[in-house]
Amino acid sequence: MQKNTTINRRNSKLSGIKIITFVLACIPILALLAIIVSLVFNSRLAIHTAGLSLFSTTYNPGIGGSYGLMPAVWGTVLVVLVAMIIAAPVSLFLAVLANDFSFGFLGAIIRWMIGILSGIPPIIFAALTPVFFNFFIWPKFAGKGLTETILLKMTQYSSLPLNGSTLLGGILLSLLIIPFLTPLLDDAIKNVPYSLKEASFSLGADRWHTLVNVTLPSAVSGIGSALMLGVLTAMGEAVIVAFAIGFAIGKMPQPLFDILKRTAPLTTVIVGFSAGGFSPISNGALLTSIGNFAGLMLLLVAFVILGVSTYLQSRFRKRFQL
Amino acid sequence: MKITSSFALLVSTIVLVLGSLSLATNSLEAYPAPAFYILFLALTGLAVSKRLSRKRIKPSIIILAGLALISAIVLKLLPVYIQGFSINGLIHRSIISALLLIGIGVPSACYALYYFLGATPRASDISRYPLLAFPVVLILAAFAIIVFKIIIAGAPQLNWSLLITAYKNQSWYTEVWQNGWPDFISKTTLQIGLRNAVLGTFLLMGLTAIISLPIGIGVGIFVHQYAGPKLGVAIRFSTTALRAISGIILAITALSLIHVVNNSFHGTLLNYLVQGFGYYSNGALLTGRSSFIFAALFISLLVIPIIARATEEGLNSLPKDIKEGSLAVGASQEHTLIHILLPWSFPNIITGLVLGCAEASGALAIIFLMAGTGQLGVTPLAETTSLAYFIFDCNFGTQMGDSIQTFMGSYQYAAAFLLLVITVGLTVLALILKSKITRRYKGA
Repeated sequence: MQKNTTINRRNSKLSGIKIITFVLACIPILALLAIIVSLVFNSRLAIHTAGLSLFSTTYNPGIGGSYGLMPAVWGTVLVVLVAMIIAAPVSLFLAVLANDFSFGFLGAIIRWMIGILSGIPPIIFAALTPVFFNFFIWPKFAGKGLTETILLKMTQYSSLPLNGSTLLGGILLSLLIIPFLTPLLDDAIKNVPYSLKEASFSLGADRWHTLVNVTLPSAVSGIGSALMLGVLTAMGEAVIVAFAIGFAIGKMPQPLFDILKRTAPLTTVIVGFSAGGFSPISNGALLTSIGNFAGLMLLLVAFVILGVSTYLQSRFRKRFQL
Repeated sequence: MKITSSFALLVSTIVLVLGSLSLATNSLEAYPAPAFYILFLALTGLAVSKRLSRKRIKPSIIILAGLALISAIVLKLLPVYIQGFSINGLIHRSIISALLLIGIGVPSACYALYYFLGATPRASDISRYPLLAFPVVLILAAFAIIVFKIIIAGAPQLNWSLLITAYKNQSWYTEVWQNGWPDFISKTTLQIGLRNAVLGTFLLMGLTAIISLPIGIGVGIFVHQYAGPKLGVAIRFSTTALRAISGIILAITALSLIHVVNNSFHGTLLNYLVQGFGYYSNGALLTGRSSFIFAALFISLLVIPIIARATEEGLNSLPKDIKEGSLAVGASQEHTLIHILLPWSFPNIITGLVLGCAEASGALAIIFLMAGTGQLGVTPLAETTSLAYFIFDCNFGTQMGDSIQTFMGSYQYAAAFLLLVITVGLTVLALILKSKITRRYKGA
């Protein structure tokens, strides 16, 4: 591959195709740069006005108030954690079932099924938020079937998770991530050389021992890279969390791990800020600017995660000379 | 001999079924504790029978039996609703019993299966299937609920008149002269239908395809053929990043752009191009929030990476002997590119395009800040609308100041059904194409 490109470069003169494709290839880079420039340019006002209070934990708008975004960051952490705790093992099990523990057509069936499920757009999951709420959250966490007199005696009646919660968002988000994550994990496990497994089998290990002690440790950087991409997807998803959690930035949840509260994550908070009521003009300049600042924060975190994922992926590829 | 292990297998299967049912309903409260007692007996019986026949048993089985006993007692003592730690909710006992049933039932099923199959190394492999398959089955059940609900609720609502009518809810005043005096009569039209949303979805897909196909192919060719290592890495990183960063970041960038255009170029051609326009029922020219072309530009930023990656894969998959054959008979690099490489990677490009169209039809994070109800018509310069946005609007329309939620809120499942059919159909098409590609000639 490497040798091939050098030969190509030596032979090719400055042709029309080269110029045209170069111009076209610059478009993604320029678009990315334009996005970064736009975000930085538009978040000047927020940095100038709110300053370091953007990193505090209290959101209290007004003159001299603080515009802390930490509740939103914590909301993102919570919802991503819930989604990944459900999605990561299930995707790993699916990938294992499609590879090492496959029999007959099981692997092909799983790959086709996951391929079809990956076509479902997020809005479909989001539209079914009420169904999952009625089916799971209300009976289990919000006292369905209790009469109002009983409910009123409960101390937490005012804050039952009756219109969405982080848990609901995380569950629906995990359904979105599983079809995304499974092919990546499938690749990571599939690309472990068979000679390694063969060596393990020849020493008398069974399939489970080979999987736990040989395949998964060899594929760990590939798996890590895939999980990072999964976290990135969960972090950037806006539609499902908009339906299941909401737009309003609030206080930090008390206690911190309370996933039955609505703690809006960064993506929906950005929507609430920069589009307040969804119309592009009605919200104030400062709030729009804070929305842009939150977007910049999300972008930087995404770049860090993407960098780590790319590094792990390259390590995986270097190790097995893929 | 096998009686104890088959009994344990039966009991742990029942425990697993009970656990999954407890996740779905609250009315099985009487059964988990007895199930745990029987599981305790079954596991103890298994351990004792193995011990009597002087075979080695795994100590984990004793631990599991103990855990079953403890959870039976705990479930007996728990109140129906649990409250505490200042958590915002009333946690029903059944969720705890479901978690316990599944957590203890899965390993007991594994061990019971292991002894049932004769405790051989092969049995040890097969006995891992409950652990691997049970969570997968639970999640697939959730997917099944989603698809089932969409079909049950959406398909019966569909009919032909719903598909060919465009949603319209407009009211205006007309001036009528009566006895020499002007009189204003209010008029309203109200039509219920999905036509503009469906057509808008297809228009958005088409425009996105037209914009992103040449760019995607160009990026793929440049990265494969001309780019040096550093430039190649930069282009690959930027295409990956465009897909990986949140769609909402693209959306607020688009919003900022609309804002600039609206403030600085108000009333000019550029403003109409970006914001879109259409005619109201009384003939007034209105601007929308953003036009189809503008939305398609931003959606194609998500689709370009798909097509570029597909093109690159196709170009890389050309067997070396074909390419070298072309070069050996004297064809230039450009000739080889156009006549050998591109036709070879054509199926890959089509696959990428189909996947990109599926992406464009379901893309909402980008357009939900700049789409509208589609009352200004469906032309490339009208206000953006799509099925995905229609579903969003059916839930948040009141907050956004339109009345679609009141009049068409109940039709959201019909729209969801149509959208599901479109996206899943396109995805299946792409999968079929992909499976055809993998069966091609791979080189000598």
